[in-house]
Amino acid sequence: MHIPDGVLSPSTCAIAAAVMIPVWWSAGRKVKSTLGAKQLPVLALGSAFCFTIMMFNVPAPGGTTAHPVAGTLLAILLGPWAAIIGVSTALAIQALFFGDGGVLAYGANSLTMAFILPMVGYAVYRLFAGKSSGESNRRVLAAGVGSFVGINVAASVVGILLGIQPLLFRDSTGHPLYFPFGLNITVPSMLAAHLLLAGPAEAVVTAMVVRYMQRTGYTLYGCAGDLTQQDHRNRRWESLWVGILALIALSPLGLIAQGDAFGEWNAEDIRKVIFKVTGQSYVPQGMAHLQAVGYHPLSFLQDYAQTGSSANVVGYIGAGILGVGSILAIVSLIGRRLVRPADQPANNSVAVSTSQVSCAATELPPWLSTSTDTVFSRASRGKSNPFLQRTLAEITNGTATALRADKWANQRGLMQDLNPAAKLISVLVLLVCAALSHSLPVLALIYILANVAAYASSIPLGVLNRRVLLSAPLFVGGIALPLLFSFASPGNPFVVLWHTPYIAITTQGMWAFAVLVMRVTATVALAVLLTMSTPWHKLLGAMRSLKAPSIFVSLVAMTYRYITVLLQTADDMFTARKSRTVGPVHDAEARRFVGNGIGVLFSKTMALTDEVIAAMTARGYRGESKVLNKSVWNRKDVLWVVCIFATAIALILGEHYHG
Amino acid sequence: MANQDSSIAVLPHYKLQDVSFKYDGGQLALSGISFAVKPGERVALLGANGCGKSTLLKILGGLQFPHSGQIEAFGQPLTAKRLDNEQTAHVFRRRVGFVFQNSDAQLFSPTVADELAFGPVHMGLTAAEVEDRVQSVAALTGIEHLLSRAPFQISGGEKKRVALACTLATNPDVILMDEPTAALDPRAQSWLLDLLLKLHEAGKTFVIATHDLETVAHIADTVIVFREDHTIAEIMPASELENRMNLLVQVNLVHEHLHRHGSTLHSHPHGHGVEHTHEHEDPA
Repeated sequence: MHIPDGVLSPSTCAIAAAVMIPVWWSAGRKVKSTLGAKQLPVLALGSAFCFTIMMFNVPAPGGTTAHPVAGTLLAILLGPWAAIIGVSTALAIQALFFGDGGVLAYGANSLTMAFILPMVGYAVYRLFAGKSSGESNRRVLAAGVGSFVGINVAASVVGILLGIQPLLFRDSTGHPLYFPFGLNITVPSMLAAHLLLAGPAEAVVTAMVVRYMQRTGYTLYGCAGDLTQQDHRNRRWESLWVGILALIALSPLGLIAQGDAFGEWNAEDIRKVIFKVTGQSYVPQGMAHLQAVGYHPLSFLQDYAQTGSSANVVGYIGAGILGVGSILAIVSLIGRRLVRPADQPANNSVAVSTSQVSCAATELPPWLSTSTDTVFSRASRGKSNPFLQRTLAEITNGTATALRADKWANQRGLMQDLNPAAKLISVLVLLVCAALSHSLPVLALIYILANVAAYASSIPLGVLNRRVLLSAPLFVGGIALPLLFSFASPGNPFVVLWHTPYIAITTQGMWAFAVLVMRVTATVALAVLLTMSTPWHKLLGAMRSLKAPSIFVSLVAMTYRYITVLLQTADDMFTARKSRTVGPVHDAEARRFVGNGIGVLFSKTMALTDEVIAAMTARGYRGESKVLNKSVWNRKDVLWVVCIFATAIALILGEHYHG
Repeated sequence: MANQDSSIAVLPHYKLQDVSFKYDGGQLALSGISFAVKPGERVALLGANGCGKSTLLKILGGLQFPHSGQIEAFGQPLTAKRLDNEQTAHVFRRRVGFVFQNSDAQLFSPTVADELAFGPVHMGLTAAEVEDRVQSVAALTGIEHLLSRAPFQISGGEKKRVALACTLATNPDVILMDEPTAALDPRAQSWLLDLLLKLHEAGKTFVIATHDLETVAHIADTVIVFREDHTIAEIMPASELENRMNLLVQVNLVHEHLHRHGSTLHSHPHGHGVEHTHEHEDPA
């Protein structure tokens, strides 16, 4: 669900970030009032937990695997406000240090995964849970339903963000400037993937973790008996959430309707709308052109789109029925699970007094003193489940990335010798420049610039470009591939592949495809260059010296610190599981292991949080982060920033005047 | 100050009177604990896993507070309310340093240098003073080459050095240590013992929780032996410990079978793991 840079227009990114700022602000205030001086360690460990379990693979239907997003889970365990900050921080680290999700698209990614997902998920959970006690099965069920609805609503908003791009942003020949496909493709495909695959996996895992936490005696957020005042406050907020939920649930329909209306407007109306939304007065021709040639994006809903909006509504009602049906199916499935008589009593904490543990060597049981290799000979039969290997590989890879990160950053070179703040500014300037640009030469120039800077910093170009190519461009290139062809990009044929029906690769299509892929490549190269040339603690220092809120920087710093600890813990858990795996692992068993594993990890995280709070308090921490600022700007840094600014302005102006 | 025992010439750093502590779940962790710690004294808390040593250290460190009984630190009652006062907290945190058992919990900053600076910065020292502290404490503990590293890039033994260094950076009068020699190789252990001796000569007070019988005599003047029912079995000079093996068997710290083969057979790392999980899962 991570949107990379270059796929959304800068204005979409800016609007999403603008929506998130008050959300972060009020979440921050809320969390501070409930957690007080503990907020930094609690949130940092929560974010690290969130980051770690996003790396887990959960077996999803059809032999695929999915990553949990964990927003709803975090909201149920720590509260929705903590979840907003926790997931946002995890996303910031993914974007900044691991190249997962764009830097400019951070606001949009936060909007969907850190705000809409946990809020909707938590609201639905509260609705379903009602006034049931914290230990009730109803809460487990509610958690599953909430996380399912949460992830699906969030996925449809991602679909909407992507789908409105071609409606709003096209060049003078009508080719989309950013993401190429419309709402009629993006929303159904995002929804289908999440309704059928990621959603059920997320729901099962969330429900299982909540169940596990109930059994260990953890008090779910808002379930403490003595917090009557908080309950009152919660109830008041609940109605607000329901309102938000309703709005969000309705918004896709609203936007779809609006999207259909787009096609029926005349050019003057579109000019007005585009001007209103983006502040740019351009390209009604694109729309006009589209209407003239009868442009309809490739879609399984194409027929519906042609016959008009009423059929579209039918499609969406169908999707809605499918969604509700899936929810009901899952509810009944989990429900049946929960009423199984084999349930252990809620309080199964191991309360063995140490005095009962005798050190006396008792006799070995007979089965332990003989070798029994033949018993497990069936181990080799049956299909093996990839989830252990996949999760292990990802965790190890994540740790390795974190550990290796400083390899090139600590040597000397052009970028390494610059003040990190100067570097951060210059990369941001070029990122914005790339996002604004629609010209292939300009984007190529930015990409080359990143490579030259890497070369001057003794960063191996092969490593840089492998990292660049392995992430976003490949993905975006795949998605944008249909852009090449005449059915998506009508225009002058470059190669005619088929005459009836007419399929050709068009020059316009090639151009549009190249611009999109180049933009993503250039922005990713800039971000990778920044992280490869800067030790992460200096990057944090740079954020601090650029007056980023100190609580945010401290949070990112501490989260990153504890990701390594939790990754190690998770790695140990999965390795231990693997070492005891004899025979095939079935999907259900694998899911149960992941669910319990996440529960164990959360318990460990909470225990570690207590220790960290104690350690910080013991050294004089009282809730405000104090840090020494050691940022020194010299002439070279100033010169560098001025040069980058000049280059960016020259590029933008050059593109503007040359078309 | 009011109820000072006139028989004690020097004001003790700590004075505990019938202190008891229960976990959130109601399980007893400490029961009827009374003792005093004089300035410059080195006290070892000796007991089997789960006897309450770590909890007692946290109480001495002002991180948890007893449910009954009185505790005085530096002649003042040590209560949650008093530590809410910024001024009192500031003085107390400066004077008491805590080396935790879990170095990963203690090292929470982005780099080793930041870690060493954390205490001094929060004590309100100037940038130059902080820098001076960081450099000199790094030199003392032999970790200058690690200053720009991140905590996850250093080994377990190095982490312990950094944990000790960041505690020393605030120049505490009392140093509380939870299993300091655990998970250290023999060379690192002897380095640590040397450093503790040096600090002792400089007048520092130590309270050290341990079940490492071999090192007790090197690091402590006084030994407080705990029973498994969370009470104190006996307080005695460290030199007498070797003649009191029957007491240690009684409190389940050593086992007769193991005893016959000498104390070198203890497997400490496993012991810590068990104690660790115990302490944190039980309250839930």
